[in-house]
Amino acid sequence: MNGSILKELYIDSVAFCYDARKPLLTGGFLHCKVGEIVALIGRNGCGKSTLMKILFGALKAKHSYIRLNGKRIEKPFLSKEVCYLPQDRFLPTAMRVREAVRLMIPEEEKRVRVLHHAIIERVKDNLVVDLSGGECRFLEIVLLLHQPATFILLDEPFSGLSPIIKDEVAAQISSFRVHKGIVVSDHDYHSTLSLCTKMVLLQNGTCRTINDKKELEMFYLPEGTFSGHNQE
Amino acid sequence: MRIYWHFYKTILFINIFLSIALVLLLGNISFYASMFATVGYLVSVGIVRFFENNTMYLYYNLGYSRFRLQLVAFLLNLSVAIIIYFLVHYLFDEQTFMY
Repeated sequence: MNGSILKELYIDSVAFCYDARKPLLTGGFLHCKVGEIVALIGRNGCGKSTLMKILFGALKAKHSYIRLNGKRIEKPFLSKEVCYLPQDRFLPTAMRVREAVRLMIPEEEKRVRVLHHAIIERVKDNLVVDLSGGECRFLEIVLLLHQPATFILLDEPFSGLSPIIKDEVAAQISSFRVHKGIVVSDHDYHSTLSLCTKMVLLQNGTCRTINDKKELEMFYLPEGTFSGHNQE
Repeated sequence: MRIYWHFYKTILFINIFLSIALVLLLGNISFYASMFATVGYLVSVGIVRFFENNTMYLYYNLGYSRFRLQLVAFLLNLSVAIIIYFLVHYLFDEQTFMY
């Protein structure tokens, strides 16, 4: 150990259920370090968003152990070290884009950089309610990536985006990887897998680390997805 | 303070008009401040929570908890209610309260 604090976000032993008869998470775990992009994958309703909300601190689990930079913590978002992009838009609809940027990014230098981005510049005077789904998603992702938080949890960042904006989002996420740890959950596995440095599959309430594409085919995707032929 | 004001702004806007409606129903303007501080405030918070619940993530991402925001919004609302109380008493004579 060199004495420096290890920047990491860790969650383990997560037990959560919406219905007492059907436990959703029975032992989920996730570990993200600065410099990593962790892809959290799994089928619809397997609990990816729930796990992210618990990790963010917005949802209380029956049991969970969350550690942030070596310290146990109950609500990580209060430390301002963790940000979360929910599936639905979180910016108030009656707010102007410029106002939202000013509210979320107090530093002028960063704010000017965000407002001069080609996609944001053309909508900066619009109300959030007038933005298209893709524009709003892009704006929210950029705003979160520019937060001082070390860890960013992105729940379905690629959903509803056109291919050009998808590429732009992927480029933005990659550019922030050096200083941040990012957890991405999305059904668009092509975009997610091309970005990630680590894969975690959430299945039957627990997490499984996936080491290569072969394992991913074995546990999640149909056989032949990556090799280009089906064995049927 | 900007974040708290932003959170409270929506509640305030709804509360002003809701309390006017309540006072018109009761037929007594002297109740305006108490309506503004109690029923109007609670219903406005409920409306904001119902229609714009996802915006809580904006405040969470800035490091503010729901409890802290609600507490400050309540205190701000109470301060506004006190100002309204004195304004109503200053502007309207005791006899004009009942109409």
